[in-house]
Amino acid sequence: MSAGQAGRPDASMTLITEMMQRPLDPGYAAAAESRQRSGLAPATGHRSPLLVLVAVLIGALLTTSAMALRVPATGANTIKSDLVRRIEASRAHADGQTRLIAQLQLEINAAQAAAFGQQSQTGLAAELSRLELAAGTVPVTGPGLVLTVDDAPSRVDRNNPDVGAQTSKEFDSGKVYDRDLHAIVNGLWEAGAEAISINGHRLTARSAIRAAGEAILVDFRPLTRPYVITAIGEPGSVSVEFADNDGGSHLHLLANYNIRGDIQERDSVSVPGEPTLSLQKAQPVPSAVTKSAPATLRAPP
Amino acid sequence: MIPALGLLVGLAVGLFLHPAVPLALQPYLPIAVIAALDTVFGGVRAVLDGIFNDKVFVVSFLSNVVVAAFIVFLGDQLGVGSQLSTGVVVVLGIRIFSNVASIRRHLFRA
Amino acid sequence: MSQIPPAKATGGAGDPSPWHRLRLMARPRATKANVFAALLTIILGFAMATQVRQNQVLGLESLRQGELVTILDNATLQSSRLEQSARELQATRDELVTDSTGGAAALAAAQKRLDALGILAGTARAHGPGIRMTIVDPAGKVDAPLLLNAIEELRDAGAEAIQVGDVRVVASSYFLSSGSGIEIDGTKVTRPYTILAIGDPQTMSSAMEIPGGLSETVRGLPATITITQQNELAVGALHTLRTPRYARLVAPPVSAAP
Repeated sequence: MSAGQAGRPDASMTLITEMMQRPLDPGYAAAAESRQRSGLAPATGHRSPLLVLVAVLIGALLTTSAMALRVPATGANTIKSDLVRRIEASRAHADGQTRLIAQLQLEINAAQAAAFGQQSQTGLAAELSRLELAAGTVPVTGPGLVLTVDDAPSRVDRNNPDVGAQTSKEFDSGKVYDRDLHAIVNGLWEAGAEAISINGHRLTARSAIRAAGEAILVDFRPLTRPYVITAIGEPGSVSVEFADNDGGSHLHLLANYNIRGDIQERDSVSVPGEPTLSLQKAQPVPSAVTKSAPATLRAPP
Repeated sequence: MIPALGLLVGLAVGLFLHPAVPLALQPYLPIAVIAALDTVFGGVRAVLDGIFNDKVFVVSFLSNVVVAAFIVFLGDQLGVGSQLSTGVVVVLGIRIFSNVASIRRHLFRA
Repeated sequence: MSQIPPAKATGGAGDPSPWHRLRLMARPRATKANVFAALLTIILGFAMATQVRQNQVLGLESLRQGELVTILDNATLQSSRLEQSARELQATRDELVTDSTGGAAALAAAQKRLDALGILAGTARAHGPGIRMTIVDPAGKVDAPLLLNAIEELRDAGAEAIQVGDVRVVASSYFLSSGSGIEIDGTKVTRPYTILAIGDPQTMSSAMEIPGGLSETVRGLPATITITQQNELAVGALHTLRTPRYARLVAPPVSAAP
């Protein structure tokens, strides 16, 4: 196992072999040899005062550096972690409510179906279904594409929050901003997409894509990268028209900054619904047109 | 035994006295700590190998710490501070692992 | 360092080949060492999965305190809105299930839902409190991305029904800068741009006035923007619904009666 044989294949890698085969300071071996030659025991005692002094020093060094280098739990840090905790609790609560709402909606639909069956109001049921599809409250499936876009690779430095805090005001050309997603989604709608979701969040008339600091939020829910945009539409046609329109050129522009965008056509994708979609302030305008003629709900010429 | 007690005393001293480290030296503290750990494990292995020598221990501790800090300082001046620091940490880390493995073989025969 | 002996693939009797050794190892035996090894690998797998998930979870820690406060406010608001929705749906569901009114309650609930969905889909008119924004842009500096950004900001502030000029803005509305102006859903909107939005007037107008928000951007163009809050506003433009040709419902619209 010695490193001195001639012709060893790794003879030139002395640094690594030295490091791994002789981690022990050669001084120990040399000192032991010389002591043995002069008749003493190879090891010295453990009680020399110098040794004890150095041991104390080492101990002090360890604790001093541990205390000096610890990330201080400043007031700001504790406030921030408290806020994060509350945000996540609130979000978990919201997710629970969303599930409950979806469940209740299903039960209501079932009860209504039974009632419609009795009252032969199939027109109403069909209209309800048509509007749910249009508004985005129910999941849909069909042919389409999946567009994935992500920040430039060199940007990934999530472990350094201080850097983020200082530079989030500066424009980072490698980062995907909310306006980039606006442009892409806009382009997809223009190209004929019929339903779009980002990272599993359906885009509805009330969905807002907005940035808060480093994160992009859809409907107040932060997105994790990469951003996966799923769109249902005419196979082949949507991606071609998208490439031609402003959305496609925006994606092309982003490629100059190493922002990766990738479009894959699929025979079948599914876009989830947003069952919690509702109104708080807006009320319908009672109109003279009877509700049983849904075909008249069209824009006046 | 006595040196181990000395280590504990040092830990307590550091904990209670809380000496202030000058800001200029703070970047070199982590490297100094790793170098110190390397010599400590080297010393324990030497004890188990039966060739411990206190003078060698003391000298190697001081020189390791000073040289490691100096290398990082030099690197900072040249602009490759973080890379050199990584290199030093890698080397010391490998040595620590080798020594610990040897200690383990002595103690647990495994 | 010991050298690893080269793998010998022998067919000699009594000398198991590497594949055979693997098969031997794969056979489960209830020895203490096996159990211990299994436990350790389970812990390793769990640790790996947790780490991977941890890596994917969004780092809220990287935001500043002010932004976290805003997100918390929004999250709390959304949470209470969801609670209210859940309560209302619960009441509706209970009413329907007990159904002492012979199906009339179901019809009324369906009609109410139809009205709400109509407003959201843009096929029904709506009225309610909101804001009216007028952007006067003599030099034509306002472009489609700016208007699009304005719409997203309004939605973020809770707008429920939006109209720009004579065009109703819905989920699928797209904004185009054409030669002489802006088109929404293929229809030209002319200057000055009038935007009506139904929602909470205070929230929406504050959102427009934040530093770096729409008002500041428009004024910097230069163009002028006027925002008035109104207690009663009507969004009368309607969106022509195109029947989707490729998107279809995943499940049948009605589930089996319980």
